[in-house]
Amino acid sequence: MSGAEPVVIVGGGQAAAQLVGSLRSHGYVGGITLINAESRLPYHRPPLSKKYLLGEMPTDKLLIRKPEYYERMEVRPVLGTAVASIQRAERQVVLDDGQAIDYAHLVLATGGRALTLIGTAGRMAGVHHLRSIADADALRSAIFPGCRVVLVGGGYIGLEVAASLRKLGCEVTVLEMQNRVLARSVAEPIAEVLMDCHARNGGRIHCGRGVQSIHGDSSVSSVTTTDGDEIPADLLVVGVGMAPNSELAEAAGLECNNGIRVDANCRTSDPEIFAIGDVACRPTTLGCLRLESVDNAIQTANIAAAGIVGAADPEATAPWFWSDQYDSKLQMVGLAPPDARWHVRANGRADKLSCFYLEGGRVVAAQCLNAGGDFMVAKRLVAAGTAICPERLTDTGLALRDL
Amino acid sequence: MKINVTDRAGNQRLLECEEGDRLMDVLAEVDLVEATCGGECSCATCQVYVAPEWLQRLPERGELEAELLDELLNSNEQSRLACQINLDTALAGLTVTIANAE
Repeated sequence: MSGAEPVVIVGGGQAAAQLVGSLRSHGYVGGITLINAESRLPYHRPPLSKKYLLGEMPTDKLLIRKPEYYERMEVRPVLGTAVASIQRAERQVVLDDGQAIDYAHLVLATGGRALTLIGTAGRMAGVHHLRSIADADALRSAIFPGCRVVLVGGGYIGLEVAASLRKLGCEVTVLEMQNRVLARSVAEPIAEVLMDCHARNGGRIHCGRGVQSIHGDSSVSSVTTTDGDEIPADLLVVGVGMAPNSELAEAAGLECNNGIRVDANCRTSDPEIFAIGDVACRPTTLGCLRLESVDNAIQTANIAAAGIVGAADPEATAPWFWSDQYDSKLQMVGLAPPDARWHVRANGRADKLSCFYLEGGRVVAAQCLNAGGDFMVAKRLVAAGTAICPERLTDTGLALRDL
Repeated sequence: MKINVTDRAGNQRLLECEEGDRLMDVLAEVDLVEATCGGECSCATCQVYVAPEWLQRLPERGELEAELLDELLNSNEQSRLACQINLDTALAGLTVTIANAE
């Protein structure tokens, strides 16, 4: 296989794995080197807060592809090694061990790292985050039946982990600063039903409250909330968002601002360097954003692959996302502004509903709770940009598929 | 054990698998389905048509699986989501055709 047009991928997550397959499916024959700071081949993250945390899945089943796949795809994996710098003029990356690897095309898929609470990093046992297999393993080893867990942040990590830990017999309390959970991304009617679901399962959620201070000697013993309550805690799980791993790009002089800035083709300010996945800040209908999702990792990888081989851009698709909490499934497609007006389709059960957001009379985004059928139709409506009256969307006498 | 798979281009493949594998993983490993959600029954990209003689030998469709399949434009009575099919030795020789993803 010719090394004349080598691709170097920095990172080893979903986007990196997708890029490999996408390049080879385009018939790309250049060398591919995948450099991952973690000593693992790419693995699925969504199970880390769910099946894997529950102990229902062996670690090797988390791999996105088995090791043999990378051999068949003629990828050279360099694992457990960080890239120290990008030498753009020489078109090389230099590794921590001093090795230099040439690239014709460089793809940064470095993802992000969990944000920590100020003052807690490494100082006290019992403070957990969740990003990696190591994090999930550490959390699983730390819990015991009846242990009291305080989860800081009512986002997807906090809520999914709370649900899993509750199933494992822990006492869980979620602290969320906003007046409701998932305030950044989910329609209020759905967030309310999800909070009911957590309450029914014995999980506590306190909104409008954050962590003022953390107490304990070598290990956490309690937290004081912003409204002065002291809550005993054997463990803390901090899920307050993610910082993009854009330092390498920044040091190399690439434009960065909330991640690595890319255009619609996932190219950075250097046309031979792409950025994909969680680290890439890209143009969307709501401005330049980082979309932290499996779908975004896959879409951006496919866009970069097309750019590298000179193929036509893949068809743009609306971003989509899912979250499982207890036996509730939330599926979302499209992007809506924070002040969006949602049209609600009630589905006959209190915990089953779909919300639609329209712009110019067309469905631009939809969020479906325990309504998988509605979600499949909604994805088509968003893709087609079908003009629809909101009254018909919310009329349960009409089947969504007939609209 | 082996299973018979017809891919989206119409090519027939004999794929190796092991007891306990999910059908979806076997197909994804050779890039025959997207399996975007990694088997969490959320994306429906792993739809397969199961050969009639095998269909009755599988456990029934799950409620969520059925809800997703019912709304796919190209699904029929033989449709299943591969992420919901766990392979055991009784399914050696299972015959499926991969559906196009929407």
